[in-house]
Amino acid sequence: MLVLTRKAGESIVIGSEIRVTVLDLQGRQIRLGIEAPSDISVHRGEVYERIREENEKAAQGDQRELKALSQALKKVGG
Amino acid sequence: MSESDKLTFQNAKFGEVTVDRGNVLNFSQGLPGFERHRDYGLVELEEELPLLRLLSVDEPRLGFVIVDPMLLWSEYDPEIGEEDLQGLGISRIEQLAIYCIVTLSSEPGQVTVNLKGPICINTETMQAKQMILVDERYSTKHSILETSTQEA
Repeated sequence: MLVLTRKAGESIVIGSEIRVTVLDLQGRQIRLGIEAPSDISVHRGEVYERIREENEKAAQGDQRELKALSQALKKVGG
Repeated sequence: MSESDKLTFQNAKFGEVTVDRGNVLNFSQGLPGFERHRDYGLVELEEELPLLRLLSVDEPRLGFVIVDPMLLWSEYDPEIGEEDLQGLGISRIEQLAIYCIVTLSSEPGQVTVNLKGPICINTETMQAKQMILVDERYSTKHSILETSTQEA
């Protein structure tokens, strides 16, 4: 991992299109500003990990039969 | 309809699957955890409705079960960023369809729906993306049973 030290107001540039700026520091928190092209997704790391984990879990269930669940849901939907 | 309007691929559960090309979703970035698999056939079986299947076109063992979240949570109202919609080429709400991934379980009480990561689809181009909501109201695990017991 590349480790860089930056002060508030300073930034790093990744490739030619992504810029991450340290906006300010408050106690244990750092505010970052991220500029990136709209086709690059930017997410909080822990939220992205939760989605990835859930997808991996969901992908394991695709061999199951769905009829019983489907019928239960049809009752709900009316 | 000519042959080229159809796509046939292999799936571990269903064997050979043929879908209309209009029912092939393209995730230009894949899904988190499955970035390399980008094309999925949307398969609708009468006996499984309202559940649908997303079956990977290039990986026979990869598939997801999805559902229209509004059927279960009528007040579901995810905030999707304008840039994300633009990325899918969506400029009108009529072009947008939203589905959520179901995590199955042999225990009915543990079947959940991921409302935190809705799949948005441009219904005209079939370009799709799994969004990651910042919204704290929604999590990756909403129990399906919760809604059905409320209604019962």
